[in-house]
Amino acid sequence: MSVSAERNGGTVRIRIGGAMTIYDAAGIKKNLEAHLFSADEAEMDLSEVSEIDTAGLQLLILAKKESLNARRRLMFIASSAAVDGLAALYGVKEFIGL
Amino acid sequence: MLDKDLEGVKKTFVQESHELLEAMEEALLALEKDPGDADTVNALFRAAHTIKGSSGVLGAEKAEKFTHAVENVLMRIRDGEIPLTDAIIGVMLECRDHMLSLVDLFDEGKDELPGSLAARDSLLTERLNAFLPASKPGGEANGGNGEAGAAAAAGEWHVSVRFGRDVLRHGMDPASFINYLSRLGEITSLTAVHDAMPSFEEMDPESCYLGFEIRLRTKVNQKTIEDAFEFVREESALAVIPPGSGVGPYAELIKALPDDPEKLGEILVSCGAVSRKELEQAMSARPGLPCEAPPEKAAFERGASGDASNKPGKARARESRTMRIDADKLDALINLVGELVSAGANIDEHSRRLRDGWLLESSSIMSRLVEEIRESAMRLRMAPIGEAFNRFHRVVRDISRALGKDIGLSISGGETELDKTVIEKINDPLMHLVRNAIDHGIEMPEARAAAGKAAKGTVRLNAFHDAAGITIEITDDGRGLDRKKILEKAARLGLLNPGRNPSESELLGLIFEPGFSTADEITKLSGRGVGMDVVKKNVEELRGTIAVESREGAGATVRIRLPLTLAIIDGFMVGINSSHYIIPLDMVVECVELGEADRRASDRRRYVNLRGATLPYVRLRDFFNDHGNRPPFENIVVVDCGGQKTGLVVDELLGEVQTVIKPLGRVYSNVRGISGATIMGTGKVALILDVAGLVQSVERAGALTA
Repeated sequence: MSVSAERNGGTVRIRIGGAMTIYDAAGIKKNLEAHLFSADEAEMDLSEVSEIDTAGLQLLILAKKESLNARRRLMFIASSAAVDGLAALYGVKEFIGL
Repeated sequence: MLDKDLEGVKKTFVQESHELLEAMEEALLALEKDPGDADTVNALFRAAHTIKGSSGVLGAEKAEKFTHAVENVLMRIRDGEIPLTDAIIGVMLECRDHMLSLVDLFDEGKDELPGSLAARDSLLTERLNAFLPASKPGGEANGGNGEAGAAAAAGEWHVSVRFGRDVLRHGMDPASFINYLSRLGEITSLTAVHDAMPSFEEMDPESCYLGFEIRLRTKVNQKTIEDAFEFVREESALAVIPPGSGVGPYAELIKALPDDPEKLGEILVSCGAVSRKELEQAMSARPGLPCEAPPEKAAFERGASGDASNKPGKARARESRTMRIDADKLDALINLVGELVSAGANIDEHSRRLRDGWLLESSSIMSRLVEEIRESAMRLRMAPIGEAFNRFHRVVRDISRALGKDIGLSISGGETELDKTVIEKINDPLMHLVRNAIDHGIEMPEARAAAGKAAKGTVRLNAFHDAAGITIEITDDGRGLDRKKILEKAARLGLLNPGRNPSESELLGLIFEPGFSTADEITKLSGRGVGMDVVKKNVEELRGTIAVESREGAGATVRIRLPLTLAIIDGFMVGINSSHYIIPLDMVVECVELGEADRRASDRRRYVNLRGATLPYVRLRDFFNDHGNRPPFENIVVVDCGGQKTGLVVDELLGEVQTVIKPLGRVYSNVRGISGATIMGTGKVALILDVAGLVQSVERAGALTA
């Protein structure tokens, strides 16, 4: 798992790579908490996610829900096959905005 | 559940499975003749389905697993996906036998399959799976999860699940459950529900906050769907709603779940589970809305009605009119009735002595009623012999195929009733005779054609009532018995005086002698040394007789005569001193007086001259060590025991009686010459003679002194 955040003006781009499983969930969540609202808008790049499970996907749902509640913009700019597959199985692609 | 209850349930399961397997066999044999009969295919499927279901409930895992594979194939046959071929019927018959072994194994309380059964299990499963059409990827092939449910066609089920918080921590992933569901059928709609997810601060990344509303188009049953969630069932909220359940269960579901009713309702409407209008009506009618049927119950009821008619044809209609009674209870009843008969006779005797008109009349009415009660009590033990006959369809089919013969079985008189215990005990002898008829009696098709007969042979089983019992005939249209061969063999065994020409019945009767077999070669079916002598012994143990009739080149008939019941005996009562004995009437040939000259000579010889033939006799008085005064006259009762005539010398001849046999206690099990007892009208006990045993023990004693 690797999370990096990069601010570019009013936008923060959060890049997650490697595994997004229950073993990584706590760490990812901390990073999300720290960066998601660190700028006006957030972008997320998941293209390097090699593995994801329900715990990982829950974090994406969480991020989307929190953004909606806070009326902040969260854009998913890139995804990986692993993420797409699970989100499709759960029928949440549209909700998350993948 | 108490252990005892469980034992009872288990017993019922085993018994019902036996009946269902019986029905399956019948159905399969019927389908062999008429493979297009949809009703029978259906009956077959339901029988397998019921066995699988109940073995699952009772934890008979091996039976459940195997029957599941059987059911899988049957379902596809029923749905017309695979044609019913002879090959399938053949394998199915073997499967049926295997299921029987598995059920019996469970009955014995064994969990593990012994080696041979395990091998058969996997071989048959393999052969069954080979009949299945090439399966879809990830589909039925893996463990055969696509099973048949109560719903005949694929319907859309609704699965609502809210996973427990700790599911992820326990190492399980909801994705795998959904993947599994998608293998059971087609997921037509799936909506994730994440209302339960708290805000950033409270959310624990290792907890699960997800739930799903799923529409699943599948043919499997409720249990299978629920079982998909077995590992998370306890901590999760699961509702499985069968297709066509109406709006009720959905309203219940909305009420039961903590999610926002509006939102959930929206999901249910959009996935097509209910219409908006229905839902609005149902929701506004609440609270206290009586549901049409809760989901579990709806499915259960459907399942039950589907299984109630799991027998083909007539058996089904009869089922509701019969009930199961423990044989011991019946025996106790018959025993009591027997004593009632005795008590009644006692009263009758007393009233006659008192010469009271009223009492006499009442007593005679009572006697008549008691007699009727006794007869109906006896009838309770009666069962039609057809059931035993029907088993032979399979035997004839299997053996004739193994031998390359074409043989049909025709059954008549199946409705003839006789004592259930007799039916059970006659099964083995019948089996032997039918096998003999197929193996030795009926010729190969070519030989038949050469003899100008139809290539297809017939074995006929027939039963009918006659005077005091039932006659069972096993007839074949084969080559008949070979007189010459019997003569040769008999001469070799020293059974006949050389040069003597025996009568037809005498000659044919020889085949019942021990060691007698005219088969040229020993086949795997018969001629294994267990011969007709054993059959004869079995029949005689049932107080029956056996005879054979042969038409050279046209076939043979074996005729077995049996008493209707073992509980009643037609006897001939004799008196010795003050004791009474009963001789089975069918063994009595005649009664003659023991002449004065013979009486005087009885110290020196134990035989008399009866119309020119020598008749050895036994003086019962001596046999039973009765040292009372010898009466002025004695009589000989001539009995026929296994074709040999013997005289029994008694004091008095008291005439024919019909009595209820009471078995002797275990203490008397070693007493020779006595087979049972009965209580007479006077309240006194009469002993029933075991004539065969008596003659034998006398013969043995004679051989020792000679």
